Amino acid sequence: MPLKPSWEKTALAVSIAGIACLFFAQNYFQAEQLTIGEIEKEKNGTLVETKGRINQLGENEKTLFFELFDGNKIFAIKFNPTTEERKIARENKFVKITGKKELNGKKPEIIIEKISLWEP
Amino acid sequence: MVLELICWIFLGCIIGLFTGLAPGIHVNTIAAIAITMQFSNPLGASLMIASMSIVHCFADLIPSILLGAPKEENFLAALPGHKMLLKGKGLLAVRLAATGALATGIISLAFIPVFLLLILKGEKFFSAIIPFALVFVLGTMVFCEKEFEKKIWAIIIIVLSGILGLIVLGGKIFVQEPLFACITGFFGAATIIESIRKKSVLPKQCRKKTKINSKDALEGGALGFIAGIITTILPATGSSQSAFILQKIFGKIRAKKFLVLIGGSSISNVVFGFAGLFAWEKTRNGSAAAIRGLIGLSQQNLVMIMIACAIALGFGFIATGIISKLFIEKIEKTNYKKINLAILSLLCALVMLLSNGFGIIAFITATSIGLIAVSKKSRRTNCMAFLMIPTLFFYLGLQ
Repeated sequence: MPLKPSWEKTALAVSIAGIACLFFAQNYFQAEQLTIGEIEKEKNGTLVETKGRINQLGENEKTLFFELFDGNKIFAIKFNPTTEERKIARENKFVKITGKKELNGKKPEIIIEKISLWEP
Repeated sequence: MVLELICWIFLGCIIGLFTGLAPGIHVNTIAAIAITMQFSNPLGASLMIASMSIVHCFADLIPSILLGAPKEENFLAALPGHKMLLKGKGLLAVRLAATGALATGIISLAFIPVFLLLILKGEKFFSAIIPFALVFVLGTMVFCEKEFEKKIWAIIIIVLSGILGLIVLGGKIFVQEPLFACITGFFGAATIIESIRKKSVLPKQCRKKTKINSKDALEGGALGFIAGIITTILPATGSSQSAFILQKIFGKIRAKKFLVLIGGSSISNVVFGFAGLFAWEKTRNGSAAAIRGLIGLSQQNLVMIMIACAIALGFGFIATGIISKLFIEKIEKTNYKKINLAILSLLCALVMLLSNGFGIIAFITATSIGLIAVSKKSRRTNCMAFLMIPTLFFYLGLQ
């Protein structure tokens, strides 16, 4: 049974408005700047920004992964890294990463969205 | 010792019934709690988690089909299942899906060595072709619509669902429980609102034990087995997506066989998740992750897990048959509109409880898109673009 035209327009308007709200929220949503020790207390899915030194770097065709160290350590992984990001992420380099905190088994990790060089 | 392990398995079966029947409670939630606990018998606890995961897949079919309250593992069962319920064949729908789960479970356990070999040999090949397969499937979703106007609306729904998926699944904002919020909107709330608007009346449900075509059961079971392989090989692909992809590849699958396939795909996903854990130490679901934290990954432990799964298959199949009959008796005595309103209220409450503000917006958006699909008589499976487009972007390296 089709919706009345007014309902259809309302449903379409609500869906577009909802998508627009979420889209613009992305641009205003700031990552929380935290140390690695503080990240472990955050909820899964929280967007965080942290800094540290790269240890135990590894990479393959689709991923770049390493341990980030600032006194504490956390595993970080970047899917589909660009060539630029692969150049930035070198062993013992200091970097700033932004990403979502997730749990892999019992261990927290960061799914990286942005990575940039950082001068300590 | 053996008696103790059997007790653990049956405890898992009971918990699995609870997690499956309760909307909003996921087996991964229980598994995540299990990781934090200290168990006197880690092997027993692992068998409990394994049997819980299997029985959950069976019990989950009941609220999905009979109440229109789907979960992430088998939300596609809600669509043909709900249609059969409104034709008085709700019990048959549950039996078909449960038969699929049982058949696929047996096939999956028997063919684990074949599965392991296929994964070893075929992983790179499948990963390479998946972007093309997804584009093909998205294209068929549009071209399968017969009228030009429906094709346009299919494109609109796919685009809206895809953008929603890209934002909530891969965007910068923190959406708590994004899958639950959106799937509840697309396939739960939209279905229930439609039922309320249409003033649907639940007809008397047929209790006659209709014989299920053994060819349908075996074919559906085999397809469920293949769906499980697809889910294991391809990251970002769930059991319902695999079932959907198979439906597009193999052409029109009748509703009954599709229910068998859907029931099977969630079971094979669980079984292969455990097999994959022991083969490559990779976890694809919360239950496997919990087990990895509890016991060593030895062949003996794998055999024990598979025995627990086999016991749970039988328990789940029998329990689902009994509970679905009790459910039907209860809902037939209640005003169907009141049931729908209660379920809708419960789903909204669960989204507000489990998700955050962004999740609520995503839920409302997904419900609206689902209602557009209903109104324009467009296939609701077009909303699957919510998962397919982010997956496509991931494989193309765009996300």
